[in-house]
This record gives sequence, C-alpha cells and structure tokens, in this order.
Amino acid sequence: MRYKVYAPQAFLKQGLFALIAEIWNELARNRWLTWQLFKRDFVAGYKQYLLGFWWVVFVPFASILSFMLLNKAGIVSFGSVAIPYPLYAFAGISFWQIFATGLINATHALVNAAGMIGKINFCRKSLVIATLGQATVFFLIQIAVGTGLFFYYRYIPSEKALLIPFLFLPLALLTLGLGFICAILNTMVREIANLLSFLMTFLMLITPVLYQRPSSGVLAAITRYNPLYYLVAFPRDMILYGQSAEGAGFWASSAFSIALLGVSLVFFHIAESKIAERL
Amino acid sequence: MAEESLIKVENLSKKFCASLRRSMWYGVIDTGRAIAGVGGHSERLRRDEFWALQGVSFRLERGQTLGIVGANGAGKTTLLRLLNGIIMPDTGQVSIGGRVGALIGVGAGFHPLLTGRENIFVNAAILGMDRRRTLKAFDAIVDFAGIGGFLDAPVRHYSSGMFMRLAFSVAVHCDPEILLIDEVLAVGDTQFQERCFNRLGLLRSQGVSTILVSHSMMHILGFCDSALYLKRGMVQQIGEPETVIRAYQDDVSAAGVPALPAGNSSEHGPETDVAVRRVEWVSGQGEVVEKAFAGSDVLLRIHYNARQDIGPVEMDIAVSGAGSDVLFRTSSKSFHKDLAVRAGEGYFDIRLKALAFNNQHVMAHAALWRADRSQLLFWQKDIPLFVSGDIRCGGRIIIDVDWKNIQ
Repeated sequence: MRYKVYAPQAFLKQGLFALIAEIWNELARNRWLTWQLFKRDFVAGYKQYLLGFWWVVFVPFASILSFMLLNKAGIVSFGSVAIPYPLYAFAGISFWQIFATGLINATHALVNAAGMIGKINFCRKSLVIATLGQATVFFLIQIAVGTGLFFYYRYIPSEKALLIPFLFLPLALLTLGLGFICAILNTMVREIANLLSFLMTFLMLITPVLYQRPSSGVLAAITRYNPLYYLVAFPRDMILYGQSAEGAGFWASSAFSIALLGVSLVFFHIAESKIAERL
Repeated sequence: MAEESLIKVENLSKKFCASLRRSMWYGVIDTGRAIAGVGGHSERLRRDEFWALQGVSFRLERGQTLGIVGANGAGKTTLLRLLNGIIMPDTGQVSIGGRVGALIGVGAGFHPLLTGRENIFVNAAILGMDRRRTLKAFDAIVDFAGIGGFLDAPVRHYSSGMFMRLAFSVAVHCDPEILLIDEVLAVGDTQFQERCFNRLGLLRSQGVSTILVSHSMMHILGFCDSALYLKRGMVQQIGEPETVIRAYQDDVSAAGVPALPAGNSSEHGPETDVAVRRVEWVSGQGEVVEKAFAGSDVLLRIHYNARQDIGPVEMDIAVSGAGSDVLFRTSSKSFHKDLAVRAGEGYFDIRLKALAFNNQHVMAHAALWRADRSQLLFWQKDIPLFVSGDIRCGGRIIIDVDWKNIQ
C-alpha cells in the first residue's frame, strides 16, 4: 500500500527535484479546482458590484486623465510621444493593471480563505493562481475598451498586437511569482497588503508606465534594472509601433520572471504547511 | 494484516503557542529555517508554547471505526487536523493509506452569494473531486440534501438547516476511503440525520475506515470498534469502547466535584432557631460518598442543632441540573410525612431512591419550615452530587427500558 506521510520537515529528506516534481503534479492535478475557485471569485464579484466591470475601465481612465491634467499644468512631462497620448497611456496601463490588480489580489488570497485553510486540506496554490484569473479578465475587458479607443483616434495598431497573449505571459508569471511570496508574507504580517497598495502608485510612477523612459538621472538608473519596465514597455511598443528598443530587456526580464516563479513556488510549498495553524 | 492499516500514527506530537504575536514570530522563524534547510528544534518547547498533542500512536485497519473521546482542549480536533494533513506534526509521523474525506468544518468553502448549484461544484472541487466525478455525483448530492427548488438560489437565502444539509451532502459524496468526523452527526432534522447515519453505515460497509470524534458516548458506543481517550494531549487509554468510556467518565466525575457547603451557620442568629452543622451524602451501604450511581439509592444527610423545641415541620427538597433548571421538586407534606424537631442535635436523612440522573452533576437544595409555613428554619442550597451514568444510555436521565417484538 502507498502511504501519504506527514512528518516534520519531510521535504528536507526528499531533495529539490522530487520537491519540484511534487509541486508540478499538485498543480496539474488541481487544474479543475483552480478553475472552480476562479469562477467562484468571478461570479461572486460580478454579483456584488453595482457598476460591474465598468469599475475596471474607470480606474485606468481616471489615472490617464489626472496625468494629462498634470502635464497641462506643467508639473510632469510625458516626453515626446508620436501618437495620441491616451492611446500610449492606455496601452501601457492595461499591462500595468495585470501586475497591480493581480499582485494585490494574490496577496489577499490566503488570508481571505483563512477559514477554509484551517479546516480543509486542499491545494492552496490554486487560491493564488485563481486570483490571477481575475486580473486576466480585467485585461481582456481593457483590450475591448482599448480597441474602441483606437477606432476613436483612427489609429491603426501594428499587426503584432495579435501577439498580445504571448506579450502578456511574462508579466503574468512575474505577478504570480511575487503573488505567491506576498500571499505567504501577508499571513504572517498583515501590514504587507496595506504596504503594497500604498507602494503600487509609487511603483507605477518609477516604472514609468505613463510616460517615456528618462534618458538620464536616478530614475533612468532604476528603470534600467526594473523588469517591470521592460515587461510593460515592450508589449506596448509592439502593439503601437510593431517594434521596440527594449527587446533584450524584455527577454531577460522574462527569464527572470520564470526563475522567480520557480523559486517562489518552492518557497510557498515549504511555507504553506506552517501557515495553516496560524491563520 | 499489518499492511492493511489505513492509518498509522507514530509518536505524534504537536505544539501550539499561547501568545498570538509570538506565534506569528515563531512562524516566521520556522518558515525561514525550513527554507534554509535547517531543521529547528521542533521537539523542544519555546516560551509560551505548549504541547497540544504528545506521543500519540495508534493504527486503524480498513473498515474499522475508532472513536476519540476526551474533554474540551484534550487535542481531539488537533489530532483530526494532523490526520487530514492540514497542519504538520512537530515530531513523529502520520501515514495515510487512502483518500481522506473529512467532515470537519463542512460548509467552510461555501460562498454565500453563489447558488446551491455553483457551490456544489466549487465545494466538491475543494474536497478533491474532479469534473467527471462531480457530474456523476451531482444528482445524488442534490437528492440527499433535499433542497429541491432552492438549487438555483444563492445559499445566503437558505435556512441554516438547508445550508448544513447541502454542505454535509457534498462532503459525504466524495467517496473517501478514510473518513474523519468531528461531531457533525447533529445536522438537520431527524429525517436528515437518519439519512446521514445510513450514508455513514453504507460507507462503513464498503470498507471505509472512520475516525469519529464525539462527546456523545452513545455514538462512540454505537459506531466504534475501538476508542481512544485523549487527556491533555496524551493517550490515556485505547481499547474496547466500553472500557475506555468508563475510564473517561470516571475521570470526569473525579474532577469537578465542588466541595460540600460547610453549613449555613454554625451559630444561632436571631432568625435561626435551627442551624445546619454539616451536610453529606451517604450511600446505601452507609458510607459517606461524593458520587452516586444511576439506579442506586443515596441519602442526603443534614446535621442540625435546634435551639428550642420547634414541633411539627415540613421540608422541601429540590434537585437542579447544571443550568440551575429545577429537575425535581417535592415536599414532605406532599408525601404525608410527619416530621418534628425537638431541641438539641439531630440529623435528617432524605433518601433519594433509584436515582434517574445519567452521568451529570446535580445540586440538591433543602428548606425546612414550621408546619404552618410561618417561619423558614433553614434553607440549604447547592449541595453538589455527581451521579455517574449508565454507559448504555445517553441523555441526562435514565429510564429503565425493555424491548419486545410481537408479530
């Protein structure tokens, strides 16, 4: 008979490869659960909000508008953008929102399900992955709105816009990787979620999402090593112009995202058994 | 047969931390250690930590049912959570040889805004069922829960009974090989309970091993092949349900018997012509006792001292249960017993015959009046007695029963 064994620090004895195989099998086995959890959040969210998903569209528009006002007042400068600014900003912010919404939702994933985690043994990784589904839906809605925007400005995007699903993937993986880590940290220190919401706007400003990469100064140095910048800027450029100067950064950031996801999964796997008793 | 053990528990221990803040901190440290691959000293207690379970070992064979008894806080639920893999042990190990279904916190995965139908799918998935198995069991789940026309209504509009029925129904339909039950047999109306028992019976007959945590000795006795008595996190006894339950109940009765009152006044006040010196319980054999047995007689003996001749008196007695609700009350007058008190020392013996209380703490109260009720001579309240029960019977009182079948 094959036994499932629960023992302290069992993963130390099994080795890294066995551990990774175990995580992979768990994720594969729980695809249906992940889908169901996503559907649950989605349906419940849809029923709850009066504005429904208009909210999703409203937030980026509000950011873009306020930024245009700041620009007009001369407080910030966009740099020179060859195309109508709202198109430029909307394309960038749509990708940015995957990260912002996805990471905040993922951070809350475990704490929100505390009652369940303490009573039922199920795949908690599915909880985190399911929250990314939410961000993906928001992204799809924004693509629809964005299409309307392109029509309005009579601007024809590059045919490379059809690559959106692939352009989207690395950013989603980075979000998921950070999400796994933040979800665990948030169970231990509840301030993490508050801190993140606070940091998000700041991060958006230094990434630059709404204006072009500065060529010199502190911000330029930060941007140079910020994977978020490449993961947002490259897809945006590909959609708008069909080419981008950030190709190398994009691929490097993609590799970084995949590696981070791997590490964070192992971290999550080891830590999750410790959090069930403390939630 | 040894390899047929579906559950093997060896030297299992689990510690918890009494301080929330420190518990979080230990969580950070332990997680950090685990990531770094450094094993901590999980077998040692740190500040504010205590053993919720210590050195627990047992095995459970296929098709067997083990009952777990113990006081609140003895570690029963912790044991179930360890067996279910929700929390990890600090020492020892648990080996599980089959798919586990748990009736612990049923309904925990339900979302109030979703309909019954949507919740069935989500909850079944959480309990480990894939799409194919959920679809196959779907009709049976709905049928078993008996929620009929409410299937497509949000569950927050369900009555609490309907909610629990649906939750329970999903839980018992995920065909487990090992079933962990934490005191959930009291769900819904009698009709639904009947269905639950039959379902559990069916699972047992299919070779499902069950662990049942219950405060109902009736359930333990009725369903279990063996029982385990947990006391402060340790296995006190394991074996035949009757023996284990008896040991548990003896422990319960030994603890928690309050001291007898010393008598309301040793001296005569201006109002008291009769002072109570001492009260005690005396068995049928004439020994002073602290507990009595269901079905046997016991004497309530009240020693008194009367300052003067009182003449004819009447005595009221009452017995109350834990919630100070009066279970029984009568008076000597109702029984046409003529009592009288003369000056000096004496005692009343009040014989309570064939006690009908089952395994519970009771309080006796006695009041002495002049026969014309013009003066209350003494009122002795809250005289504690533990009546140990008949393990064949549940509930708070005992009724002598017999069965006959006439066809």
